[in-house]
Amino acid sequence: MSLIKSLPPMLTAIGLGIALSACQTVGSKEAYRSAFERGATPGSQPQESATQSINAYTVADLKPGERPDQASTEAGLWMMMDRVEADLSTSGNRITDAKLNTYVNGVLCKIAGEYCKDFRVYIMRVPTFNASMAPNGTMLIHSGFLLRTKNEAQLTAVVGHEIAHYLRRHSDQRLKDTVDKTNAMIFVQLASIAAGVSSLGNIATLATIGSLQSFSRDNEREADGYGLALMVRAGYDPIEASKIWKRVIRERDADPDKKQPDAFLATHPPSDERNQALGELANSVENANELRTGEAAYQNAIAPLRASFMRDELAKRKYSTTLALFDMLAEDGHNLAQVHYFRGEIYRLRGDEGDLQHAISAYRKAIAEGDVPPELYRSYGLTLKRSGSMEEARQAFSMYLELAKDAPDHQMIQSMISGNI
Amino acid sequence: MKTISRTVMIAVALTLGGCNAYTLAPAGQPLVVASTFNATPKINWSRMQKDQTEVWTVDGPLLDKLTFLSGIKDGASLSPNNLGVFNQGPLTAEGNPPAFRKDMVSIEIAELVKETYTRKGYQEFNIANLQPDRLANNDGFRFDFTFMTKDGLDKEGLAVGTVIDNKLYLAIYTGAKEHYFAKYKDAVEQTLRELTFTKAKS
Amino acid sequence: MLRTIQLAALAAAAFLVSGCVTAKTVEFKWQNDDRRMVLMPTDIQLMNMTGGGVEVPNAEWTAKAEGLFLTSLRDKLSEINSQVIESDTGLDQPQEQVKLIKLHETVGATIQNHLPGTAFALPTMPESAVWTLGSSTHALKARYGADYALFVHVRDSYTSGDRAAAIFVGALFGVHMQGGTQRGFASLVDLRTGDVVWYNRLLRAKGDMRNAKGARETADALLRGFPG
Repeated sequence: MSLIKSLPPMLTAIGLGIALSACQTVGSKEAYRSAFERGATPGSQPQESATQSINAYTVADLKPGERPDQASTEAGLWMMMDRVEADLSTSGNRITDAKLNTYVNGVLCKIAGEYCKDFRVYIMRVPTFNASMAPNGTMLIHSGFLLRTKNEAQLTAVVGHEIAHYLRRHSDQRLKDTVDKTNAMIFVQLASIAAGVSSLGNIATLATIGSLQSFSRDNEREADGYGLALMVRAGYDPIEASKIWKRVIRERDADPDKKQPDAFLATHPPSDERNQALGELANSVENANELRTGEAAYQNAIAPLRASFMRDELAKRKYSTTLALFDMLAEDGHNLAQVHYFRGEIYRLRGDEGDLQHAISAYRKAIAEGDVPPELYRSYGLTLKRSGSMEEARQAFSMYLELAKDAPDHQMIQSMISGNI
Repeated sequence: MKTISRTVMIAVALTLGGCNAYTLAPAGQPLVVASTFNATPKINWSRMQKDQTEVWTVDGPLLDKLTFLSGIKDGASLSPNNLGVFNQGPLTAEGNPPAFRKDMVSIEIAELVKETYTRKGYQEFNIANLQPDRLANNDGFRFDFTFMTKDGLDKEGLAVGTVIDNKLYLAIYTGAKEHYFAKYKDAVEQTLRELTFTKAKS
Repeated sequence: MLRTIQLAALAAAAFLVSGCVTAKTVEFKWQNDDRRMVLMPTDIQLMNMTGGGVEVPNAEWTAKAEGLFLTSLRDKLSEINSQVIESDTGLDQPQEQVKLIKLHETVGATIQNHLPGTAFALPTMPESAVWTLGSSTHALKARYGADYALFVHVRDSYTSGDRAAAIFVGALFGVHMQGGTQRGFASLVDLRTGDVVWYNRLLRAKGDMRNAKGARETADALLRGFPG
């Protein structure tokens, strides 16, 4: 049956996967390179010679692409991305908070300089570490990325990297490569995943698809180099670029089920190599100690939404990596009451042997920090009840009702306090 | 690569065999729902049943949908789906869908419903009015909720449930916020109020 | 197992190759003489397929087809003396319009998933029944001063909340495409009641919108049975 042989088209997914890919490099045995030729034109292959100097990446080499002529492949990508963007802007999981959007756009503009108006940022409520740039200047940032980033410099490291991909027009190269080779395996994978993509609005799935389509190592190298150059030019300490990767590695290493890692991490190179190269490049910058990290500004910007990001993280039910992440956030030291509360939540939800006690002690740590969210007392009550401490549970529930006057479950809690507990 | 899923084959076989996935549940006619409850629809519904899950709809499940989930066991996850199949995976394994635990209280069950919907890609899931209630003459709970589809369509819902003999019984009604949810809400509430078990539960 | 797949594929194929066009055959009469309707933002996309089976979005074709198709659509509508009003598009759309389009997408997906006479037909929605968008359409009526709205999708862009039915429909869309399958959905909504008073679904293995003749032919096919 010839009909069975033809693959489901879902080219939308394929095209968009290419367009929306998070930056990953294809696993390969090549030695890590960080070279390219000064004044390289977009689309050309970099030279073999290695350089550890950040001076190799001049901003003059970055020219924004003009709107491509309609007959080109690139135009096809732009068109699709324009449609995706229209969907993105009304998507159910877009974060529209004005302050956060203003802040992120502000940082983007600091980095992008004169090219700032070419980009539009969409912050999406997806609990994964992911940020990607489409060839038409649409930039996607996941809430999971914002949760894991510690300071402004780390944000600029990734944003700068994405801008570099855009300015060097790496997406278009990739589409050409893909069209030229007929790699059946990739399309089979895409097609089966794409069966779940029903509309352009399915952004989370598209991000997953994107992770299967990677930029070449050369492109990644370029983007790293140019990204650092942009960072430094804007006054940020480039050592933070390797630090964000260290955080990502630490979280990944906590995953016991390494056979099924996060889609983003799955196609990452041994990040240690990249880490090292980024570190070397950063060290080649003079007077780096005069550059800033912007931690306070960043933490202030995400503070109002961080609880929702952490709650979304819980819903993944990837207990080990989430605990590693929350432990890192505890070390960072911002809003410890909130961090310990969520640590308690992850233990409560996992419910393994011994977890009940871990949860209770985490809630107690949070209370000791002061200024806990009212829901903590509800969870505290639930865990105390489960452990058999009925009177303490009642007290915790009462505290919850006192602090959360409009609790959506106050009738149920009241009933538990008065009788059924 | 699967060219055609099992569901498609079943559906096509049904078409070829002249069967329909949905049958009529006429108003006023008592019937057995999800192999567990006696129920009387107050209006005409289209119904689809598989073992202990059943779905009623009038205009189509994307627009209005009443789901009955019956006898969910310790360790099983919810699957508010037309052809509901309970996932009897191991409890709290990494990355597995959240599961019902026999000692859960209503607050935790509401959390479970929220997580189940969120995992399926629904957004902005907010619970309100969690309170004690009765289902099929047993003490239980109910709550209202609102949410949004991935594409941004606003929806509303209500859930009523009870736990008997360490098993969870749930009725969940959802509909598009525009026009549909309100249209059948009264008919749903009436039917749920009159629900009884076909076999007496302790 | 293979035989069952072949059987299923045959059934699906028969459905497709027959140039399946399903229209609503309810009695519909225009309520006014000028037949004013607002044309909601159309969603059209064309792609080309390379030898290796890769489909590449083609901006040139799409832009051209969009233009040609809209021209054909307007021509056809004026032939029946209908006055067409253009709606706001893209990021300029007001919130109520966006929400209504999202509701229509869901209603459209529902109609296609549960077509009368198919495996997933709903006993409560027989041939004679009418799906509705509810009273939210009044805002659109006020905004554009039209009694009707025409929605056109030439692409599959529907939600998949109803997974079982969507797999069925999606598989029909999937088991086939040899470069040149058209799928589309058009509906006419009475903005006074919100009712979908007419719809048509297009699913076939031919049609070329890249030239004026082809675009016109597609518009004809999509609007076959459109109340004149």
